[in-house]
Amino acid sequence: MNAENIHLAHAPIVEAVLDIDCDMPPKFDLAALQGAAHDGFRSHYPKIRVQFLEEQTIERTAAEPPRISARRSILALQFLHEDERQLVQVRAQGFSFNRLAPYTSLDDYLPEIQRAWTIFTKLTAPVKIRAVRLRYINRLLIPLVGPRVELIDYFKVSPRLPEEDKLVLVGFLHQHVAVEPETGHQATMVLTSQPVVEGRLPVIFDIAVTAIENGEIEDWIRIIARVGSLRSLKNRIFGNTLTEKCLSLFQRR
Amino acid sequence: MWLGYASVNAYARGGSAVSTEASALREAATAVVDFAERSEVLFGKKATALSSLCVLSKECSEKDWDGAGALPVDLTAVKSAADFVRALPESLPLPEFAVDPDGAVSLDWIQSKTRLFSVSISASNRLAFAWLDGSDRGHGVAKFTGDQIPRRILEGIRGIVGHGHAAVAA
Repeated sequence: MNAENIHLAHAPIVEAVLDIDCDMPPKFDLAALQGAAHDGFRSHYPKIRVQFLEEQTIERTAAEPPRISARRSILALQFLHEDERQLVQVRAQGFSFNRLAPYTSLDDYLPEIQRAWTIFTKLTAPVKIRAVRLRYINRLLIPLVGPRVELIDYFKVSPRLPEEDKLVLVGFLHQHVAVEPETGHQATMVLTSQPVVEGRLPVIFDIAVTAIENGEIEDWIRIIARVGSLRSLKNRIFGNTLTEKCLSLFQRR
Repeated sequence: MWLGYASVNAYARGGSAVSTEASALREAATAVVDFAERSEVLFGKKATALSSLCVLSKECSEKDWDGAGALPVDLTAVKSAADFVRALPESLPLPEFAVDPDGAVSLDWIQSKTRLFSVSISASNRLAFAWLDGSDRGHGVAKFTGDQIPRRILEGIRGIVGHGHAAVAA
């Protein structure tokens, strides 16, 4: 099977994210932008959510009771579809488009991404594109046989225990960070398990691929080219991490 | 390239994904980071440095904290400064912290009045750095992703705190 062109009847993707990191103008102020951004995105994304960074301080002296203070700043403005399955984000460091399941194909979302990106650039006047990132989060439900699962049957890259006859694996978190020398793209791959659900082991497989950029804001053709290249790498990582047996789980009707 | 816990830390604390699974991933990575940061050997000195950064952040959290109209320290800058400290290789000494009047956080490696390296961290992901080595000096800007300190900055710090010449390509 060609790892770059795998078509699954029931792809396990739960979220896809396209980030475009930018140099923002020196006086860029997310709080001041909130109203105008909501107006700009409202027709397709009527709901707004604000993501904060919060700092809490607890001061304690021997003589007095503790004093708690907090302050916060805005990390991102999130604009959501009515069903909250799709959103665009105006972040302190750029633009994001998120699509949650059900997900069809990136090709289906690119026109909307371009439309939202154009609104973003008019609102925020970013200076330069510094990175383009694609992230795909998948949730794989691996069937147990009795209380066990042989991970090696499903993953070409999987955790191994030092004493497999005496120890039982109950959870794992694997992170790999790699560079593709040919393109300079960076890839971060994470595999982690979740508690068993109805005789199946949920494994989250997260693939993030990043192109470091020094691009012009107006150059959508270049952005699309980068997205295509990243998509190819992401597909190869996906296809070459999972075994045929694992992939077949997502072909069944 | 060495990422190790710094990479997991960046993963635990960052990202623009919003799904339930993305939260689960962050929690799992945070557990790994917390486990590492409870170790005195792995993280003791950095924990002390981050405590001093927190104290400084509190001291400079109100406008005009310097009596000369300074802006309050930027929370995003404080977070990035903490990520920068977490990403520093063990072989490098930890910096002194200061807050600039514009709300940015400065990390300074000061060997003497004429031999120092300074990184200014603001709300953006661009790091402004400057160095002074006798009569030589320079400055530049580099991007910080949260887990990898730019090579030019690492080399510059090494040049100042080590015995070599501060050969920084600005």
